[in-house]
Amino acid sequence: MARFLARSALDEVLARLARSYHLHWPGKLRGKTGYIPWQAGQESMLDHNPDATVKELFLPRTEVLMEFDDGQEKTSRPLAVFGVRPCDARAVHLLDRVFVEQPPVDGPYQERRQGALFIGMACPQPQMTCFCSTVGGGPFDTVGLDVLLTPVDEGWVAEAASTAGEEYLEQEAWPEATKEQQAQARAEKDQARAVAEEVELEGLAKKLEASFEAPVWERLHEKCLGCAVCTYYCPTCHCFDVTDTDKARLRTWDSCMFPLFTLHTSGHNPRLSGKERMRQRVMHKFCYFPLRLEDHACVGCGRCIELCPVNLDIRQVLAELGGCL
Amino acid sequence: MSNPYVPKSARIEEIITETAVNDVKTFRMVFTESEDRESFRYEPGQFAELSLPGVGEAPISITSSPTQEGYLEFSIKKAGKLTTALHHAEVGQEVGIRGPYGNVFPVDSLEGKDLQFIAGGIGLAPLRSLFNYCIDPKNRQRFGSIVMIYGARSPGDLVFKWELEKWAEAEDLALYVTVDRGDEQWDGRVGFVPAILMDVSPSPNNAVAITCGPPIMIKFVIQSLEELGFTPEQIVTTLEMRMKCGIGKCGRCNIGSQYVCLDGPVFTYAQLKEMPQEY
Amino acid sequence: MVQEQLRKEAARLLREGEVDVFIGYARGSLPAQSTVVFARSSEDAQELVFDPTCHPNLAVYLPRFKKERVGVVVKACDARALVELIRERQVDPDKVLAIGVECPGVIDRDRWEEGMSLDDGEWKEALAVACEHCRLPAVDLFHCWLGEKKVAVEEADAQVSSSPIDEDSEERYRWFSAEMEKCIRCYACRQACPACYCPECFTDRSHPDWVSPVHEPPEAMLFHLVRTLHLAGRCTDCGACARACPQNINLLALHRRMEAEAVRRFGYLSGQDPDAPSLLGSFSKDDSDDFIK
Repeated sequence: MARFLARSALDEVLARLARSYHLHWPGKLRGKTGYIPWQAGQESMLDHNPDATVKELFLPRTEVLMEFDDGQEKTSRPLAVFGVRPCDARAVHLLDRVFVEQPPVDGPYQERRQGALFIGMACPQPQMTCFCSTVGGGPFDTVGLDVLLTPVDEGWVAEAASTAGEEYLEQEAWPEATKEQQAQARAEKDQARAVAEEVELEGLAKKLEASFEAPVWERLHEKCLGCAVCTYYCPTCHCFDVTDTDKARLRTWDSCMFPLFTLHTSGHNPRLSGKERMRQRVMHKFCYFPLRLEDHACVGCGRCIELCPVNLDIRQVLAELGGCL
Repeated sequence: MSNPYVPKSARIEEIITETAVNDVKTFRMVFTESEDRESFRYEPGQFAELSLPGVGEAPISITSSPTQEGYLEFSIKKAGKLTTALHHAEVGQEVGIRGPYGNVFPVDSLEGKDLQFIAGGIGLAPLRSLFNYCIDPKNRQRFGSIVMIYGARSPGDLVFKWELEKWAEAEDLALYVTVDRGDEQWDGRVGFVPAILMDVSPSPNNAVAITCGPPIMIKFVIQSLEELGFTPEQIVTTLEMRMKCGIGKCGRCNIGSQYVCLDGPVFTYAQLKEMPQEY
Repeated sequence: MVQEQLRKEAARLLREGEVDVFIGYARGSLPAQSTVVFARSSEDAQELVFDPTCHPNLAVYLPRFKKERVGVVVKACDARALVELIRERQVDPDKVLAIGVECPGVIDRDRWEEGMSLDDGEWKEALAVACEHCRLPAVDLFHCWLGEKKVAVEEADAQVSSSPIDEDSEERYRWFSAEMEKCIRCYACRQACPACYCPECFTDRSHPDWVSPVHEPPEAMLFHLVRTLHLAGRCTDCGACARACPQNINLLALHRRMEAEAVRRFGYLSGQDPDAPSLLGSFSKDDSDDFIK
């Protein structure tokens, strides 16, 4: 049953959520935007897909894997994210494949992930950089979500997307959405701009596998500066480093764009130049990940396109790879 | 919640200095807890993540054989941060071990075959696990002839000299030790491993070659093996890659869609030929 | 106009074999963002554009080409960087043909708002900070020049109004800490910088690991301070680092402060003359020594 969450009831709903969850929602973060801990009275930025991805909540930039002095078990409330976009939710679903579904289970990740509630915000007005539909998602996609909210007059139509979502809506007991509200939500969905680019992903993984040595890579990587903007802003990139401090063993984000990423202690580096590193990034997303885990490791959020200093647009890279191989 | 990154605690029982230049040491380690001694079941070819708190972790192949019960051995070249710290360690020091990780040498498919081991330098370490497994009296009759060709740059670079002597005396195997350059005391073979391989000239019939060593040696050994008639399926090697997690999460040891920590480190040459040349 | 001339000359250079590759800007996939093209034929040269979206400094690509003859389009700021690359022997001046273009200033993507027009000066609202402070190299560096040579020249030690970098230390440290807290160490600043051509940056070493990958402000501070010091007398204030930064860190405040010190103490201005001695590599008995106490 579709329910209606009135804008006027939002503060109450969020306050209730924050009692049982460590609640996050889109907000301002050091001059940019990200998923920040909710506090009463904060300015709502629910119409905005944050610059920083939701990945950071489950795979923080720096995370303690183990403490050397055997610190006490932390007990914490599960995470809830209010207003997460379908692309970011789908990304976490993809991270689950690596960290939870592919054995062994990654304990520290699972600890954050377990019991997390995702209340998603549909995306009726995708940006110029969006291409979620191309990679199997969509502005109203519910993969990875527990509840999907669709903006209508005075509030949102809420639909459960998982058992946890059903339970949450049951417990909240918001009024049933009226026929008009439901019709408006449906209309929003139908009129949402198709965000599919002219990129054919069917069979791309196999094609890419055969194209490792293709000359097209010489050209494709040429403008790449070799920074890690694309990987650090990617909601699915999950490569990490493990290092020690005096007190703990830590997991920190790492990037395949850095030469150090694959540098052997002997000095040998299997990915010596920018060409190999940029190829690795594209291949991991559209070939290796699909071959191992049967989905593209890209959700089409467009952050890499928006932030690349030289406008190396992954859509054009894919189009070229699709056509050139 | 179980945390795969938390290592089991072990103690260094013995340290053997392997090379004259003092850059390879073999560490014999024993788990502190008896339940860990029981539960750590490994097979030849696998590796473990060794760690020292505050220093870091590194993946190291297990050089002991599962037939040697009660302890683990790791032969470690002093190269990076952790291995340097381990070289400064003393008997009794605690070390973290997690694993075993990676795939294993295809022991079952080696049964009934003639085994040709070819190792160079510290590359003997991962092969030694399988070698000792195969020549163990409990297993020896499962395999045909067993030959080991082992070479190093100089006599001082040979590792496991203490064991080479034992192997040389054994009757049910053939051992060829060679060095690229001899010295005054050296009265053994002098010559590159691939050349010795051609001299020994093992028959490819019902045989498997298992090789590990510096990349350049492996390259020429494979050429020689192919010349001798070994097919890519009959050549097995084990790879080295920069790794962090060891469990297929951190995303750096892949070669194409294969993760060296999950699908390797043991690969046949036939498999390697199907993979991108990025190792 | 400039764009037409540029396409024509680049096409000629490629057609007549005067250069093997021509590096320029092409239309990007977003309104405020050009992209980079490596033209290898006169047909490729038809992709070239020049407008305020052409903000990357193309000199960054030049050290990659050791053998080929390279044509490149340079704004005044890129030309200053080229001067430094020639001086530091990273670029062979005989193998580079630089086409200078009159530049009205470039857009800072973070100041850009959707719908701003490029034609009627509306975009000037989004003018990059570095452009307020433009100057042209004094030497005859260019193969040719397109447009007029009118470039605003301001004092190089102009203060950066938006940062308290010159104020008392406590306030300055607060400001610096806040800026460094933003840094995610993606190294876009370093990668976009023509002067950051070291084959191995000190951050790319694991043994010893000078900088830890831990996401903490002191690690970011270490990186940015070392980079700033390493750019002393070499940074040409093109602002490419700040425009590449996805976190809007005020990098120019750091680099300009260093530049101002060079001017104040040694009367030294980078990016003017490839034959001038380098700041750190030269000594004069008249040099100020007031830092030695």
